[in-house]
Amino acid sequence: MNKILENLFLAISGTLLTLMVVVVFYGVVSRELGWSVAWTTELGQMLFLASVFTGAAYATLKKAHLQIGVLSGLVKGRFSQPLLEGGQQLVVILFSAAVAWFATANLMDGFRYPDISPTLGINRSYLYAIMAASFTVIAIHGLYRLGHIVVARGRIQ
Amino acid sequence: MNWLYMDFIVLLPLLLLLGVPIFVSLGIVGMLAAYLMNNPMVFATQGILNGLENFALLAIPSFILAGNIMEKGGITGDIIRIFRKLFGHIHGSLGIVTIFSCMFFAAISGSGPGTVAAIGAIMIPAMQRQGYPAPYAASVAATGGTLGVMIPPSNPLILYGVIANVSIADLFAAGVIPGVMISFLLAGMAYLMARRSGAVAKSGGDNDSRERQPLGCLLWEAKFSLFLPVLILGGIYLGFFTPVEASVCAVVYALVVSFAVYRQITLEGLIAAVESTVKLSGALMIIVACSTLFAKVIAIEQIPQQFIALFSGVTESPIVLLLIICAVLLVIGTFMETLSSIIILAPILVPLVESYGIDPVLFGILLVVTNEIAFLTPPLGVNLFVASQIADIGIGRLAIAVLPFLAVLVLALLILIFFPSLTLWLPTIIKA
Amino acid sequence: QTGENPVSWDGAPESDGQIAMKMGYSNSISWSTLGTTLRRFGQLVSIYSDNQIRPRIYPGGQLGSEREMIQQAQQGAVQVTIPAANNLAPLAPTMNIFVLPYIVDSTDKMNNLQDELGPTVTDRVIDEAGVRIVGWENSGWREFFYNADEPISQPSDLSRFKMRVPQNPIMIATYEAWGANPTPVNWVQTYNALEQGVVQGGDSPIRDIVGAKFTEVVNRVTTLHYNMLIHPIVVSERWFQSLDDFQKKAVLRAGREATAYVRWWQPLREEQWWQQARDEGLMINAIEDESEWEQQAQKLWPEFVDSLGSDGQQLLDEAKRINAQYDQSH
Ligand code: NA
Ligand code: NA
Repeated sequence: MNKILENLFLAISGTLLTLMVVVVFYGVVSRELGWSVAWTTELGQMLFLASVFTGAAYATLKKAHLQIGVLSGLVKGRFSQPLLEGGQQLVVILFSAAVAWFATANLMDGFRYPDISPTLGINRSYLYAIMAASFTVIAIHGLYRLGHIVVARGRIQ
Repeated sequence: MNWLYMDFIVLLPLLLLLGVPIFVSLGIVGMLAAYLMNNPMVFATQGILNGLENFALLAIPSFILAGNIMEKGGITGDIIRIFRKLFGHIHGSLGIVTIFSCMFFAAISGSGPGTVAAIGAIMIPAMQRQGYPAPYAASVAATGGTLGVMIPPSNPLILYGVIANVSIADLFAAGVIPGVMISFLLAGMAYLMARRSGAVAKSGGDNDSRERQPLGCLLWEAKFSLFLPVLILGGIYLGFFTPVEASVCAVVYALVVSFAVYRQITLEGLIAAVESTVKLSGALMIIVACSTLFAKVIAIEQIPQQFIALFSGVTESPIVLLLIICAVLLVIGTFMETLSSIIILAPILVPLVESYGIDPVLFGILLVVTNEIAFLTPPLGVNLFVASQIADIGIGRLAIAVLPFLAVLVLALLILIFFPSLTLWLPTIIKA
Repeated sequence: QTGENPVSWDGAPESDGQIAMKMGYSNSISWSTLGTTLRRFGQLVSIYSDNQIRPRIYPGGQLGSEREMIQQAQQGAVQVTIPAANNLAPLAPTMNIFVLPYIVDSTDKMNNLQDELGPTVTDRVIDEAGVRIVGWENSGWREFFYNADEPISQPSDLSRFKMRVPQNPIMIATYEAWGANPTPVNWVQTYNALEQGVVQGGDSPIRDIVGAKFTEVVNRVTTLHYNMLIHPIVVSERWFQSLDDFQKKAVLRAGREATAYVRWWQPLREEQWWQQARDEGLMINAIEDESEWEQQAQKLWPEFVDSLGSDGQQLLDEAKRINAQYDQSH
């Protein structure tokens, strides 16, 4: 399950990133050849945004997210370690679920008050759908890891 | 103390120290602040999304991708071989090379993290392969990247020029000498630290027979690799593309050379390059996004302004004033990102320093140097994040490894405060 | 003194229960008529609301881009903002009426159009974007700035240049109608793009040409009257509806008076910008006869009726009627 999500988000984010490069490069080429197209900056930026959110989900699935954790490095105990990790996951779940929820509200707002991108005519609010989906995955992953921690604790006892 | 201040001063450090992911810490504190301010919560998610609206950010994943492709495609190896041939006998040569590569790259890039991404993606793996310790490799690249905002072109200097009503051309000229000076100081520190950490390039350590060829042969073999910087610099200065677009052109060039000329890269290699870019840029950019929300709630509460207000009017001496301001900026720089802090602080600080007879051009450069330092101080030090991801080491370790370089930057800051002519001489000459 | 609005609401006593009015704008502090307009507006709201409403101002894009601030106003996170008409247009298509090339050809006529078409526009924009227009700021005509040996005088001259254009379909189409090569470049990157020759020019009011330091990287300015950069003062409709009648009246009156104030002030300030541009060595000339420019550009109007929101034709007809009435009486 985790593997499928990982590959899915890698494929999506990688494709978006590649498209971003292609689109911005096409913008350079077309401008220098004198047949400027107006939409490349806008599309490039949207692809960038979408690739960041899906990429963030992928990075979290791969546990590649950045953290500082000076205190957490000191905690080693059999009880305190899982407690700390569980706490971290709870915060992650709380935040990601909130982002997913309110990004969905942004999306709804976007249907009521459309934000139409000037050169492409796309409703930019759709980006919130990608944001919501990515953070849902982060939240689910958090739940999954929390479950693991709890189960592992149970086994020790 | 009200709940909002508790949120910023207690909750944020606590979450970060307890190892909650940085983007979650910043994001949840920003969200809570929005709630405490009675803002609708959609404001918070909107703030996170719009944190990525800055077009210049697009250069970061592009340069990382270009670096990864060059690495997989054999371009990097060619370049490193030449560096080793030239400087291999010097202690820490690759560290020094990294700093000077950053200096030259800074002449095309206007951003700090962009510079770390571009040079670090090439040099950090190279140093690691040559046996340099990872914290050393990462700290050199993270530090060298700060030159990106000092040496023109520079996004923060443009912003400062517009806000402070100072000539951008003057600012660009003023940044050159301090930028080169800082480069040499950092290179010196890279040398010293290399000796200490035992990071010496082993001669022929990886049994590379091609390295024994004469330099001319190596240069000729590497012609397509060496053409990349020429292409980028030339393309920008001849007006074919902007610095942001250059990142994308670098990707295309690296692809073409890897596939058509070197023929080393496979489809798997390419996918691996994209994979590591997605992972790195996803982890990094989401922090940038959440930090923008954080900067916004801080701006709404006018916290940096209150901070500055505490310290204005305590002295008559311009130098003491500058020392105080820089110290305060260093503190603010730990948790605020460059462009946000310039947008918020320049409007209050410029009139203040001008009333002390301090040249706003000088102040702009000092502001940028403090921001260079801010790139390297946690919790919010984007250069650290980029380098730690590329080198795959913890931010805590990197933050310690980078301390000697921070000391150099602080020293440079003091030199610039006490010798203003270092900054102001070049713009005067150019105008005359 | 015309540099800064000298009066502020800071002196008014603070008290509990005051209604907060956060005002955000994008342009940089030092040169902005936007700041002046909002400070005046805030001061008047403070007075007319009998200090029940307390303004707070956030300059220089601290709260985000113009588009983001509009959305914040729509949500009620920010109460007042002042976006460019062409940046409000993606959220409120009605605003495109002010972006149509040569919709008016004099400042007076623009003011008249804002006053007469205002109520219609306001209703439509509340529906489209959830914000209420309470006043207007004019920043000046968009003039060509560029690098060249010879000045631009007719539309065909533009084909020699890559011109930076904001990402607005009508403005892009206008350049194309003139046979030019419009290149959307992000505003922040424009200085670099000009310096390095990625683009050779663009168009902006003289205030922004001088303020953004483009004087350092171009040598000419050519004046014309195809488009005036205007900024409506917009108020969060959600917030506005939460006010009582007395407060609502205060906000509306402050909007009207801030508009009148900035219409008086802006030309005085603009003259200083022109002087500064001349001092910095820009060569400035005017396009004497704009009829060819106007004809080519106005051909676009029918094409863009649909981008004026629902019943675009009706809106355009009303604008035309107002302009015709103005021409008759002058
Ligand atoms: Na630079
Ligand atoms: Na920092």
